[in-house]
Amino acid sequence: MPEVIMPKMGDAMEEGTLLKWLKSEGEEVSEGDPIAEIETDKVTMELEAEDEGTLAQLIADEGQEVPVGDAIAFIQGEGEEVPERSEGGGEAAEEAEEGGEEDGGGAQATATETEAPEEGETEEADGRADGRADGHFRASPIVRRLAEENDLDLSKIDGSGPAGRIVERDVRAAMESGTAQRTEDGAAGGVAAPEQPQQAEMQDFQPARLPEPTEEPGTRLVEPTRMMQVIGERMTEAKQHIPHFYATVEVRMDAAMALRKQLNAQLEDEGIKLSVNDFVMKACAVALRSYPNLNALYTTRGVELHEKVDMAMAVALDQGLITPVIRDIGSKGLAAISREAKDLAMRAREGKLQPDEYQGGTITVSNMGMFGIESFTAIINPPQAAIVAVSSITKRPDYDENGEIVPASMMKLTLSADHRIANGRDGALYMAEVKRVLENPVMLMV
Amino acid sequence: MAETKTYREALREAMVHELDRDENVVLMGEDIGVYGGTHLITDGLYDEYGPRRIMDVPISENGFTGAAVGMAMMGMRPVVEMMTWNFSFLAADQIIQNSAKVRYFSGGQVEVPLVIRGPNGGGVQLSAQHTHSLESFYGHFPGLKVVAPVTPNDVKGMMLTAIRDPNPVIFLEAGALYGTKGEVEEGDNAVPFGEARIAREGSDVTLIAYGRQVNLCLRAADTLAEEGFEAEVIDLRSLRPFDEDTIVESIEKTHRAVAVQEQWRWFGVASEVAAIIQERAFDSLDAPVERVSGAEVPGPYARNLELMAFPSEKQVTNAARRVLYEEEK
Amino acid sequence: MSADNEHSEDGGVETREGGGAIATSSERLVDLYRQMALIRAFEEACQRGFRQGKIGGYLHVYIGQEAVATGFLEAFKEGDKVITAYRDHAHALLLGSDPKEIMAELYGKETGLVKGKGGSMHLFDVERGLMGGYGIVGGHIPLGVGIAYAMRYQETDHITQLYLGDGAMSQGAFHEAANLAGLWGRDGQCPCLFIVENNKYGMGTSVERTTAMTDLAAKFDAYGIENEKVDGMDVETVIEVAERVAEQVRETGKPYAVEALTYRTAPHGAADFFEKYRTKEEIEEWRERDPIAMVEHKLIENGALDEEKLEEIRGEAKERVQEAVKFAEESEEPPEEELYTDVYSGKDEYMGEE
Repeated sequence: MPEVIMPKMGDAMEEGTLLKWLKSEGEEVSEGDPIAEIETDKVTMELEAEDEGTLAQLIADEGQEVPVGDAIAFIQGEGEEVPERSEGGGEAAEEAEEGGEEDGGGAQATATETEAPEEGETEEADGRADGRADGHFRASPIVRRLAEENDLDLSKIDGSGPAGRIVERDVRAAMESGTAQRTEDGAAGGVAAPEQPQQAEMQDFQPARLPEPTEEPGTRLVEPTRMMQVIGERMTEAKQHIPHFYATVEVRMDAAMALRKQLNAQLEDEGIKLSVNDFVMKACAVALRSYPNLNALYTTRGVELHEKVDMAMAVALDQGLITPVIRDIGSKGLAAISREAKDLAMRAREGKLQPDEYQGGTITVSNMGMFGIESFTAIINPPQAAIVAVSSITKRPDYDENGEIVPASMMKLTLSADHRIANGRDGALYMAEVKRVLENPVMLMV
Repeated sequence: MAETKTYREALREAMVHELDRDENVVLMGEDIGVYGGTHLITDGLYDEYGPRRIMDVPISENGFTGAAVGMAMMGMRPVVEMMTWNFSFLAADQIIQNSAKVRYFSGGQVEVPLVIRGPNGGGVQLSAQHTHSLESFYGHFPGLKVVAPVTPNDVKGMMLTAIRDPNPVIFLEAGALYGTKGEVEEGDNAVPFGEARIAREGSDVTLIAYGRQVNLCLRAADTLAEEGFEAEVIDLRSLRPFDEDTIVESIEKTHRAVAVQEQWRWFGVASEVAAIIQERAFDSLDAPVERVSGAEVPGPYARNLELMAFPSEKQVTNAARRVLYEEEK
Repeated sequence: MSADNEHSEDGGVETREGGGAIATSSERLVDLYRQMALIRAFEEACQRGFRQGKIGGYLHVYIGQEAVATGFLEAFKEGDKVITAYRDHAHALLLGSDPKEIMAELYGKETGLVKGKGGSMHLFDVERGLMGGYGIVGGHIPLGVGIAYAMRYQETDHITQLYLGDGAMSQGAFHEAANLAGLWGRDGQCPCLFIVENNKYGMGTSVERTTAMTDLAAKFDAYGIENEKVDGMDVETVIEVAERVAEQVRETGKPYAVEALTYRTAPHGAADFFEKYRTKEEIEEWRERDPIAMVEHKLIENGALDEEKLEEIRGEAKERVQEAVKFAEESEEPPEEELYTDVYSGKDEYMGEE
């Protein structure tokens, strides 16, 4: 009988929260019906049924965190019985991981096929076997249907077709002799709540000792959302494990602002309005051409340098933060970047990003300029090498080349870089290049 | 009332019926008039209806087929003979680009009540350039209707329907069977398109074919019956529109299917049959659908090679045995 | 070198030349001018729409050739039919199709002449006699011959005006259809007027580079079809020939062919930017004989209109075209269910899956 499992929606996802059941136990579901709302570390999404049948046994409760790959329910096909589950979902989780990274459903199917034995089905006959019979036996479609309709246990039938395929005449013979009736020992029993092995690991990221809530009047206890927890874990890990160093430059933005005004006037008809951040992201990408070692990931087997720049951009959400990625930003023009950034940000706020849109990335830009922040430092988004913090543009007196004081639009950019990947000089030269590009914005066009 | 007639006579009878019924009907083709038709389908008609309605045309398939499309757009009902369908490649631009599409790209302002008919398929040692089965070629194009009757009764009834149809109809005749006889209903026996015919009822395996392969399947069914298996034989007759339901209902009964076609295997009607069965009758299947097709070679000349190039009764019975999980013979 | 001389050299046979040989009334000439100005304004708007990306697919404009269809359709009588290839906007406009619906068709809108299903190359207005624009060079010629045959079969006195380009004359379909027309015409059964719009180039390849025998009219001799040439830049001369030969075809039921020597001063298609196949000088020479400018010149010369009045007529044409563009822009796209209609006539209108 098909399990409904917590799908793996991203390579960093270990568990998800079952927010809400959209169908209740005993309800009929068809393939593609939304059956539950789940929250991963990045998005809230609807989980769709991949099989047709009756939703049997809601294993997970609303609000419960479930490890990736663990069953949260079963879908009972016609004539099938609910299996007894003696173990937690660990086995299913392993299968899912073997089978594929992102698609929980596909992974499950793959695992089922690869382990399907061609002979010797009887070994599986006790316990959970008949519940999963359809996946295990070679049998023609009509045989499966007849088995369902007549309550037959296919494990008790020898197939006479090619490679042991059970064909119709085998079933007809078994029905006549009455040798394949399903026994009653597979009836539904209590199902233990699945264990959550990941929870123990999570403790590693918690500070050693936390105080108990005071629960005094005037206090209110807020439980962190799934997303806040994940952000907390990742940021804690990053800040504790990555040796950050910082480098700040002050960029005179007058030329870039003038170019932006000019371009926006021309692009108005197309509905494109370039933002300061679009310029900064493009400049950061252009500067990486000269200093490519900052476009890198810190991996188990060394520093992986990337030729293409996949730029993550931090987008603030009401309940957290997400970093959608503009792929190969170096090859894209300002208008394309602007369009894509706007689209990603909008869908991020609506919770509509697909996992592949916010996973990966080789460098990140975080912008707080819109809040009037004069300067800030950002935490590296692991396993990336660097993140650039963008502050607001302020009008300030500055000296021109003749030493005269002139009004200038100034903006601070602060690099946070991983010292295991780059040293201070690399960071400094890189930021100087970003500054040079932004102050000579025609460089953005080449 | 029914009478025994040849395929040829039944076909002529239908055209005569419509010539008499509708002044807009004309027959066009190479040597169909004075000569009487290469296959004598139109023999005698020139004398009766005259050159205005029985039009001999020069050897220019593209030209006269296109002219027929123009006539049809004006409300005439031309019935064009391709001396053999092999020559229709020369008219493919007119058939495909104009007759099939002009209704669509004119936003429904015109219709093309046109029949193009002629012998289809091989079997009489005509070799490569004169051996084609073009049902999947023409069946591919929306806007065309494609039929392939095999019995004298159907060829008459479907020709009546074809001439009355307001769309271009590709009428594929079983050329090798012009002389075969069968019962033909008297009068107006119009056979609707899109309805397959059950040529033989059976319960163990379904053989699906059209054109002269239907007869092959009937012979194979007799052989299988001797072995204790009752084969159902479906004659598709109409390929566009296509009768899916009759096939599905049969598979729900027999659980096994063999699709037979004279044409080449790739992209053929049999593939379409197999796809429809797995889409609509998957849970009834006891074995994968088998296809029996012509060999993937241009039509050869030598008799022995030609026989090998077309589906044989043995290939059909063995395919049936495979889906029945029986030993091949 | 005047363009007229060039024609004579090319063809080697006498060409009926312009110069206001017929006594066209001023009033009629003004009306012709109005029609041609509308075509020109319409085609220019199409070019703009194409550049703006509002018109998709291929776009072939009639700029420079206006006198041909304008002249020949003066001989059009109710019940007659017109069939042409893909350079078909002018024919629709001249037959009285609504410019709004034509433009809406080009814009791919439900209000289009063929409901947004054909586009620029497939204008049809069967009620007004337009049996279609067709996209395959030469492919429509057999249809036209069949349409003409049907007219006599159905015992009417209508005729078919069958327009084709110089490029189409290299197609087998032309030769097969012309042979049929000649054959059926012997019995008075094919009232088909072939109008060869020889604009000197099939796309970018000149007539000289595609056939050894460049007298296109004379090719009809091979099929027993009477033929002549006409200066296709002078609308009055075209009318004179058109009215005479159309009457002849109508009376005899025999086909007739006229080769109209003309020139497309616009590129072949809207995407044909680099005109490597002809010189700027050549285009300029032909522009001097622009069919519309020639009419303007005559109107001023014989005192029928002054420059101000001409401008007013051009302004009216532009206004009508602007209305058409506005209508096209504001019209809705075809509803999705239209995808599946008009595939078949009758009950099983659509046989696929929706």
